[in-house]
Amino acid sequence: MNLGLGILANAFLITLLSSVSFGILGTLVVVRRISSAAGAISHSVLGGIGIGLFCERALGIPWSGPLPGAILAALVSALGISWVSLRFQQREDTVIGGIWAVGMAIGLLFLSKTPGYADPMSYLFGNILLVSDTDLFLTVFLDMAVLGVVAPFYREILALCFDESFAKVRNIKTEILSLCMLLLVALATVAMLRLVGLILVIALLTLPAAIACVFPMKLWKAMIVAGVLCLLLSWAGIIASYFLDLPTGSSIAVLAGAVYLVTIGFKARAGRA
Amino acid sequence: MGHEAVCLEGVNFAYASWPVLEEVSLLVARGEYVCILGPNGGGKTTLLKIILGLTMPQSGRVSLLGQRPEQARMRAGYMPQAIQSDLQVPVTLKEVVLMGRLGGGGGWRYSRSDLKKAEEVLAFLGLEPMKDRFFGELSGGQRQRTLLARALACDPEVLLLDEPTANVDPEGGKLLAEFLAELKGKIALLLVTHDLSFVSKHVDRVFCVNRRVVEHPTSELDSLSLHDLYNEPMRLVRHDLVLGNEER
Repeated sequence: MNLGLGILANAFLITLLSSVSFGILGTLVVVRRISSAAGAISHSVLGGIGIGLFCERALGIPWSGPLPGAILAALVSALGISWVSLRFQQREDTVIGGIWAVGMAIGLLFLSKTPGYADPMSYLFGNILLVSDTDLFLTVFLDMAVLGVVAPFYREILALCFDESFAKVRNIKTEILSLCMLLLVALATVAMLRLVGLILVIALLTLPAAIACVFPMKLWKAMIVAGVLCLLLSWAGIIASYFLDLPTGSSIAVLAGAVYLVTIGFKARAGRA
Repeated sequence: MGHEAVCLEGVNFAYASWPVLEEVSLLVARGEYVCILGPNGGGKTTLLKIILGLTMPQSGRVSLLGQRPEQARMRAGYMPQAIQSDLQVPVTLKEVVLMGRLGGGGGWRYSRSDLKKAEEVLAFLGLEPMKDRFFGELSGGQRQRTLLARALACDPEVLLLDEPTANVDPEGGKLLAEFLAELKGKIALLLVTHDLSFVSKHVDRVFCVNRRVVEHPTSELDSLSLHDLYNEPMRLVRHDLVLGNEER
């Protein structure tokens, strides 16, 4: 299906749609301190892209391709990280690093054996020209999934972030909630893959939330503020990249990083004054 | 329904190959106030986690309020160590207390009776004036009282407390001890601490845990048994005298 929108309109629309889930998920990733797990998931997506492209072009499997591969890889690594953190807590950090690097390596190996032109750069850093209607639909689905999990279980998720043992004593299914969060993060990575790329998606996920969390406010307020910031930063980045002829994903990431630094700088000065 | 609040029989727990608890048997009756003393790393926190079904022992039988821990733990109040909670999580004092009402079903709002229960507990512990402050902004004593409030919001039949006076100034510790004394007899209290000053006249029985659990009648908690527990000479502070002074 083709909505027939222009490249810029597509980019503006996908950031508008994704800022809903990125505000919510980003805040949870920051508060729950799972940025490195999110990073590992997003990077391992390259493995899925490589395998997906290889299966499509070299083996001629028609339903395969970069997107199904990316979704599958993201979900598999989210499941893997959850399983490891349940079973081998002490090694969680190491395994996250392993999934991160090995996932990317698998991707590059398969891409190197894929016939035809396959540019890893556009997957790593995004390419505004590649944003398609499929990505828009995926983002709408992501928003619904995020709202469908976080809204009914907001109180339980807050309790889980604050004190997991107590949440367990209240018979909250903490493992399932944690897994859902990671699976949603995995989907979010894939949804924004084309625009900002799998390396930079972490910036868009965590930095707006980190900026919001500099100021004391309730979790749901932080989610809204992070969502609005995500939207403003992405639009500013898209506009800047358009007029200055820069890569979009990198513009957004650098802008978000700069705003974060300025914010904590101001906060520190206000604290001393 | 039996009359025991907590019952452990021959419980063994090892972390990897490091034994933490050995052949632990423990019986706490309903309404009893029991103190479990022991050095850091002696297995106190593990003991509480086993009672709550958060940690599975390698062998032995555990029951809470006559049932399996997972079935009964909603009827228990758990006050973990404050350091276990994440101070960076933006959560207000009242939101923390309301967490004690979780587990009753879905929905994004607390019911009117949940809110009422929380208000009651906040008033009981004198936390009402600061209920909208963020947990991370509170003092050590206020944090501990908040966690006690959360445990009480569960409407517990048994209250399990882990080092309630850690990071609390003496004044705050005394306050906490007074609140617990008020609960005595209404619910079972099982308090784990390395703070000997907590063993007040209110405590019915004292157990000492250092891998093994040994019961000490409070009158016999003398320098000799403390020596066993801490493996070095300890001086016993006679708290009965101090308390006697306060009462005058």
